[in-house]
Amino acid sequence: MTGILDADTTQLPRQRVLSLLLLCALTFWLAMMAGTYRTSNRLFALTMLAGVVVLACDLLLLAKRISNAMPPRWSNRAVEVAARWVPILLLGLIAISALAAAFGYVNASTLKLPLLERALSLTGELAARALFGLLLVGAAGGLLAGTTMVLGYAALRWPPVARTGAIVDRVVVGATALYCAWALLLTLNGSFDRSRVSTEHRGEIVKVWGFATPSLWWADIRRVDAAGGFERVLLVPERDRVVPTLVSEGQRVRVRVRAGIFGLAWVESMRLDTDYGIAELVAAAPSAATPRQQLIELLLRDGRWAEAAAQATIYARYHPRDRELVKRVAGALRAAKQTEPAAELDRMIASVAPPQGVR
Amino acid sequence: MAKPCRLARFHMRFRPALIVAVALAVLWLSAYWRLHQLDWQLITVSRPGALALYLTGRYQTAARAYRIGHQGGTGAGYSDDPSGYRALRAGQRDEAERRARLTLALVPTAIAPHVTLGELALDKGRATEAAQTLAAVLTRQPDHVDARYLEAVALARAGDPGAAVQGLIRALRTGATGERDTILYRIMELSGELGARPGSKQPFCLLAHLHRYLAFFDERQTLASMAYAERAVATGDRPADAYLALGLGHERRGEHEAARRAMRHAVAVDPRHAEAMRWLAAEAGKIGDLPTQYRMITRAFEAAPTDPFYLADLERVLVTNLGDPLGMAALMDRALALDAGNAEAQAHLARVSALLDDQPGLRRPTPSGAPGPARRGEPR
Repeated sequence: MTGILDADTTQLPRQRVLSLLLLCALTFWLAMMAGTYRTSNRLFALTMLAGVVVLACDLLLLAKRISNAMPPRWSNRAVEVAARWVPILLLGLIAISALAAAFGYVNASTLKLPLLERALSLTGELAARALFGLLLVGAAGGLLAGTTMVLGYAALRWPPVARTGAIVDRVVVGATALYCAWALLLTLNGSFDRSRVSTEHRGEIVKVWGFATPSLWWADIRRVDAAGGFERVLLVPERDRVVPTLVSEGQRVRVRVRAGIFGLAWVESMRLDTDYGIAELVAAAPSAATPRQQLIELLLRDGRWAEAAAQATIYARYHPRDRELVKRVAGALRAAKQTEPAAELDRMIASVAPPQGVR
Repeated sequence: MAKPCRLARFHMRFRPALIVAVALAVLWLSAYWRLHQLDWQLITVSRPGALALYLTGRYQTAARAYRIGHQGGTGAGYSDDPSGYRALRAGQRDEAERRARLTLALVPTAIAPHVTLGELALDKGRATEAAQTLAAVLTRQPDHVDARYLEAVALARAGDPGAAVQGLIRALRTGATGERDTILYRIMELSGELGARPGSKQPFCLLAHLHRYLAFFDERQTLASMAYAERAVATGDRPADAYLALGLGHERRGEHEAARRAMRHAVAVDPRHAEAMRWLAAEAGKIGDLPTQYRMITRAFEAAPTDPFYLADLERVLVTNLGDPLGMAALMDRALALDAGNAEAQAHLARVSALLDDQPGLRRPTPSGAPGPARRGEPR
């Protein structure tokens, strides 16, 4: 009977570790999904940040549960192994770093080989970083173990401490469960959104803010096509093709938003509005080919046929050899039933065509 | 979690090996983080005291100690040292002067001996004479980085911090430290000397740019440069140039937003600050913001139309990004109208002319102002 009880009391903490580990993995995955189907709401856009906070609390709780679940003989064995090998590891890393520095000096004063200098510098830096990391892990581990021991001792002696510990444990697990439910809702909202219709909003970045570690950045955007409109977008560099540190206030952006199956609008993509200011650029550099091409594309996209035809005419005068663009514009005009300006462009292509034999 | 199942019972023994190893690791790391930011040029085995002086911020004495560390036998005859620089570096001033003058007698067009004579004048405390000698070098070769740095030092010593800042900005924008290692020690010495003055008499902006130079050899100097730049802005000491130093400091530290803000301030204070505008143009180019890139680089050119340094960037924006060789040709014509001897402008004009010849439809504007496509309008 005693044996069965002992087995139960050792199994229970391990199950608690495993369940929390699974919860951590689920939280991480759902936080990533919530980032994929990010909303542009001022508060909901911070879902990813909330995920990081919840995950950090979960990891602390996990460390505490692991510490409680670990049999004392394992802990003692781990301490023994660490005490034997860590000094050797530390001294080895110091030696590598110091030797790299010494050889680096010799190379800089005699051989002056740039590749060797780079290699030695990298070796020294990696060894120093490993040393720093080892010390940091050791300090964090020691602090965590010490805190767990003190809390465990206090919980045994003073019941209110034990009760508080239990409450904190439940609050963290409860908050994680709530977070997962919310992130799941956002995931379903985006992933089951079959509308396939997105609306493009134009806006101006008011502020870019975030954290370098972990790399999480948001752009606060003032809508320029809707008075008083505001959007907060979590930046996803791969999808938005922007580097968070390079975007800044005042830049114009276009945000593509989809409705969402539960009516929670989510951001499909955000990109810098490279069309903004293009008309002014064309006016400032009239002979430049690229901006006028962009302007023509923009005018065609907006259905401003007459202006597009006029710009194509000017373009053809500056760049008479580039007949492809004018032909394309004429084709687009014909497709839009703008036969007269299309015919005019065709006539112009014929009139400016270079004689045969000339490139 | 109701209560902890058990308390961990560690065998907490005193472990001297572990404690010694951790202590050594902490000591090594603190030394390493301090020293790994330094260039090898600052770490000399022959004069370890110089490094100690440098690390404690006594730049003036440190610079002298570094220079003494280089002294001794020249180890080079005249044929290996016709400019006299190695003799000067070895502390043999008379020999250095003799070599420089001999070379000039043989090859009057030589540049390096003039730079040595400039350095010798600096050593003798004749700053004005040094500035004149080096200015003569720069008239013949405006991009001579060594002469540019040394002239800045001479101008600062001659009591013209504004001109010194201008010279330093021109030299620093090349990203080169110069070939003569004496430049580092002269700038270090000058920084120490100016920094030791009472607060109200310190030329903050000049100090900010001097420390920018030192930052090539020691990353930490970026912070010192930024601190001086902030004080220069606060006291109104060449604020636009100070904002430039501040912006470049922020950029070096990866603080891009702060860097952009500082550069915009520089342009707001001085709308003709070419260097800040060049920086903003490059920054706009990184995100594909063509209108800003065009606006900034053309404004930089208009602020310094005779400075060949901006022409490469101008060509990249106008010809490569915008496809506007005609516009580039017009600007090169303007540069040549102001300085017909501008070889860089001539080279760029030749390149875009070749492009225009390939596209017969494009009409070349004429420098005389004869009819051609207007810059700000549509073709006639």
